[in-house]
Amino acid sequence: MLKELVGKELKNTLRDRKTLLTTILMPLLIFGVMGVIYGFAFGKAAQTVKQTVTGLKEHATLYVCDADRGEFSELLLNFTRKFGKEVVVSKECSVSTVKEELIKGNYTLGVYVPPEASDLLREMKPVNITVITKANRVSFSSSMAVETVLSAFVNSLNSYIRAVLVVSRGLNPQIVISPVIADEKVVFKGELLPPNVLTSVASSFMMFAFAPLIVVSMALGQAASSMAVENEEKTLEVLLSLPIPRSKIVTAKLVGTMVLVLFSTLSFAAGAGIYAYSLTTALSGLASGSSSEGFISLSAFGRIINPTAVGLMLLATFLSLTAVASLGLLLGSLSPDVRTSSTFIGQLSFLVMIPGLILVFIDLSSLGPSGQAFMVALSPFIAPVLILKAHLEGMEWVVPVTIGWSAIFTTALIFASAKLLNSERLLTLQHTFMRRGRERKGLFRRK
Amino acid sequence: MNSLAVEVKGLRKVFKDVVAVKDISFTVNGGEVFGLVGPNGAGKTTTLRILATILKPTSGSVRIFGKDVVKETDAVRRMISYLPEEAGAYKYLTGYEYLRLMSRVYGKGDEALEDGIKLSGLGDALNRYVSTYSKGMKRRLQVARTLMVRPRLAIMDEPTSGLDVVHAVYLRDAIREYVRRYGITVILSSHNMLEVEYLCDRVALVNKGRIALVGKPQDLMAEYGAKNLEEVFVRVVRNA
Repeated sequence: MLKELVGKELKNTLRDRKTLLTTILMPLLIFGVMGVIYGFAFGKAAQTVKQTVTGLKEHATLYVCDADRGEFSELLLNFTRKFGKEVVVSKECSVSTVKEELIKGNYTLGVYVPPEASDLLREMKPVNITVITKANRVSFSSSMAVETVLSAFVNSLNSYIRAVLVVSRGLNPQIVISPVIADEKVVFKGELLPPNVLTSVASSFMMFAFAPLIVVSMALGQAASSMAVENEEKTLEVLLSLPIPRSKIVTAKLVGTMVLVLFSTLSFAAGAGIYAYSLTTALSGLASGSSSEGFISLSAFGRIINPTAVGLMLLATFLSLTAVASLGLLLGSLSPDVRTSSTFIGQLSFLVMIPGLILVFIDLSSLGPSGQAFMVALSPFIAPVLILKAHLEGMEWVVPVTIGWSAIFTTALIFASAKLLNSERLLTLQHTFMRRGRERKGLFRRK
Repeated sequence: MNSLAVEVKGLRKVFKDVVAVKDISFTVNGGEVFGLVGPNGAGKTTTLRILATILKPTSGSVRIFGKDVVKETDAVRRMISYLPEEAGAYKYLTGYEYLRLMSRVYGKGDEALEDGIKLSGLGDALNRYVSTYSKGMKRRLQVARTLMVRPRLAIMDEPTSGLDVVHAVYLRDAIREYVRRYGITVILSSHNMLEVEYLCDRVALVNKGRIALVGKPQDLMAEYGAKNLEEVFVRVVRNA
């Protein structure tokens, strides 16, 4: 009989185009399209920056205001003649003159060398020069290009002067620039890891924490709708009069919700995968070689989270999904229609989202004992994020407490849902809520 | 089939500050079609909901084929089939899938399903989603669902409510023919006196939460010197 009831739940839900669109197609479309758009935007920016830097090297025209007229400006001019295609040098000028020349649009870069530059160089003190370029518009790619042009010029100039100074003193530039080559490692939970793995995990955490929060919120709404629709479509009264144990009705609803959430999660994962891939590929194009791990990296997570932790997270996700789905069934059964249940659930999503967001952005260890106890109390709704966070912060005591409390709470909620499906209690509560709703002018709509 | 099918004794139902049923007692014999008639708010639907195990009585007792509706709910549910006044079917199931689901829930096989298909008279429309059905088609599906499992007691609240004459006549004929063929006991409520006269062996007139009178339609009309049950009904309600 359970098989038939689950089949009914799935058919009645998965054949509804509106449900298919909102819970299965939309996560794929939204994240997928966002990923493609971001990927395109970042890719375009990377291409623009690359073209700008290449163009600068091949076609740059420079205006140098040389107020120094000494050893430093000679070094700088030697460099600029290698860097740019055309260099114009002016002796009677100021920073304003450089600015004016760039506004006229005659040059790519303008450099002002102050009068004391050579003296500072002789005293082995840093020289403060002014480098100006011109921006014609504000956009992601053009602002990246402007920054890149300026930093490329200054970095290249520094390297050039450093090398000249070192060679002039008979030293090996490599020894001066990087006298030590270190194999950097960090030990975390007994594992020796490159530090960029931790950085990558920290930056990926948001992605991995948001996903269960969204999925759990979705289960809450879906379970509530599956029950509210029984009221809306006037099928509940017949269902409650059938020779079916209440536990089977609740189980069928929970399984139906879980299957839909599973489809939705797969769609969400596919969309998030496209998003992460597009973003990581584009960002690696912008900052090539900065890290061996991506911005969002599953492999980095794999190096820190062991199989036991993954198993516990899956168990926690299952418990959270069951807990919120049971709560959804309770609330949905009291709602006269899907719209009312959505309003109800929208207001209650804070149970999942607020503590979840706190965990995403704030360290568990910084919350203090009362804050940690509060989070554990709410753990049936946020168990996967809490366990992940506890594991990453090395607060292992949180894991068994969370699993134990979530299991007890979830069992109690399932029991309460089955009890509420005692039709007398349910109809009386519905009647009471609807009457109160009418008194408050329309929180509940009478059908 | 003359055993006692339904025995209602001193039934009372109170919803907080509203007394829906004050004191109702009646019996229904096996194989009998018994009608509850009465004005809106008289307590008919509440009585039927108690019989269908949806509500619990505040006091009094209801036994269906000897089983108490409160203490032996599961056993009662296996014997009854309930048609509420506003009954819907799952929108995205076809009519056929809905009937098959119900036959399996009652542990019945293909024979019940075939009966349901015939009873509904929906033909090829059974392969369409319920969401595409008219009100009349939905009601035909519900009546078929109620009767096809051949319950020992069918509880039907306004079986032809809101239907046009053609649909209503079709359903009345279907109910009459099917319950007589299989000896199903039926309790139904209706505002349509013609329907009650046509279908019911006995009628109880419920007014203000109490039974005002019970009897065979012909006997009641003779007792009140009325041409039809409607006249009896109006007189009883006005004199109450």
